[in-house]
Amino acid sequence: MDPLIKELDAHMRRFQGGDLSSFPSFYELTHRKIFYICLGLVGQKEDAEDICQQTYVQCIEKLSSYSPNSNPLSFLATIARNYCYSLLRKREESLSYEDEAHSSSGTYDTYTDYQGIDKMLEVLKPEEKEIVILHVIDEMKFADIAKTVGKKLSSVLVSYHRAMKKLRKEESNRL
Amino acid sequence: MKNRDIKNRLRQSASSIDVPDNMQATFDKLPDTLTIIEPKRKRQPNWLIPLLTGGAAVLVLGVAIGVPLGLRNRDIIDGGSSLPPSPSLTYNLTQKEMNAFGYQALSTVAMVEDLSPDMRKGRRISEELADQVADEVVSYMDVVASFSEKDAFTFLLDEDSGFEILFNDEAVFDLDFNETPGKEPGEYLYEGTIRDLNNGEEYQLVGKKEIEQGEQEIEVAVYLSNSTWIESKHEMESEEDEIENSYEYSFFSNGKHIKTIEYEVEIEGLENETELTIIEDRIETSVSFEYLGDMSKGYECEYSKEGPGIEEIELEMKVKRNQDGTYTFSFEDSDINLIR
Repeated sequence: MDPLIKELDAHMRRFQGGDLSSFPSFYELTHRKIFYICLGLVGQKEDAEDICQQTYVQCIEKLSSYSPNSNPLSFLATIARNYCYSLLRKREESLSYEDEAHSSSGTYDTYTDYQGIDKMLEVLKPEEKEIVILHVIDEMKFADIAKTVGKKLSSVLVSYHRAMKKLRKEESNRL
Repeated sequence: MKNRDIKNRLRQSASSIDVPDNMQATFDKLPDTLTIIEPKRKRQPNWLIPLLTGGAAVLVLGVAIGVPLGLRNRDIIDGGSSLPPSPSLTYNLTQKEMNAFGYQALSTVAMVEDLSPDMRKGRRISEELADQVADEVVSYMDVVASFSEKDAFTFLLDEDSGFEILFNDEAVFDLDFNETPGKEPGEYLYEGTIRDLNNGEEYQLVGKKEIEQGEQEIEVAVYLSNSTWIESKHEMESEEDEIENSYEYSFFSNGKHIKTIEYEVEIEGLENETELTIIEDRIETSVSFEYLGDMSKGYECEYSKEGPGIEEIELEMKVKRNQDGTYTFSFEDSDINLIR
């Protein structure tokens, strides 16, 4: 098992035993990765922060769903993306009730630090963007990504390679 | 621009983001009381013992490794019976199904013939990474090339020659098999041989076709020996004119499942991309090939491998087929050129 995953798994076992004293270390090791997933999907800093917090709360509330020796990062990422997609659905619903003029003016504020990544990844479909962030930025293994996003490993690999091809093409055009 | 440049840029951009540290606020929101979860005790698998004794063991092992497809015929595999008679030419295969069957037989036998000495005799550890990767990738080249040049293949069934696979109008494989109805409606079983007309090697071949709820599934297994064989599975939707380009190959050695390869092809005009995913001993290898239109241009190839206990590998290379049937591997960002 990857040393980081092993360490996170040890934290999760402690939590399951009722001991949350190592939560700050657990948070320190994971929160950036979870934040990148959330930001990549929802594109707005405040929403990403809220979802991060909700993710950790649900992680602790749903400790019984975690199987020791599995990947806590994948466990967290699954919770985070569920919250993200839920928010995205809500946004779509609320936009559908707004008139065109209002919706066109009601764009969300973007997180300026994030614009570099966002601009690079804008050519990707949401599922491709998610896989690229999970693999390249969060350094998750493809097998864990497949579990997280609920797809076959081969589908994840195909999506990843298609995404990278798009990014290469896009970057070449920009140069 | 290469993949690693893209990755570096993404990682740099990510690291420049000021990620808020809300640890305390998060901690304060955690539930005050936790339900303590008792670790699960491992149960001894006592139920296995009676199952794995006597005749039941034969049944369990038979189901586990011998007849996953309901395909194996001991008489044929052991060579105990005579070769199947000539084809009756009344196969319940449409031209589309025959093409699919032929592709599977072709690609599966290509994999059997490409089985590296490592798989036949155990793993060999290469010292040089490039050597190791080239050795591995070349074992997939014939099957990849067979799809890249799929228009050059013809699957022919006639009175004189039976079922033949032609490459540029030259017969390269000869299939000789029987068809019998299966137990279920729409199910047919196939048993016979596939012969490589270039080297005279002949392999046992068994197959099955099933039609269920508008979907067809064709399975083909080609045997190197009684205990080493490759099974391929291909599903296609009957309403489509095109063959769906997604295949799964399972490798069996000494009767055990040792490796799975999933193969997907995306075709756009003359160019096509293929993606191989190989899963063996929990190690995942991904090899993607972008075919550049003809064999003289060859392929852009990306190779990655990851899994427990190994260092992650990511390499890019160009692969070209030479006149003599070998392949030249030119690794990106290095002077390494290897011929395999």
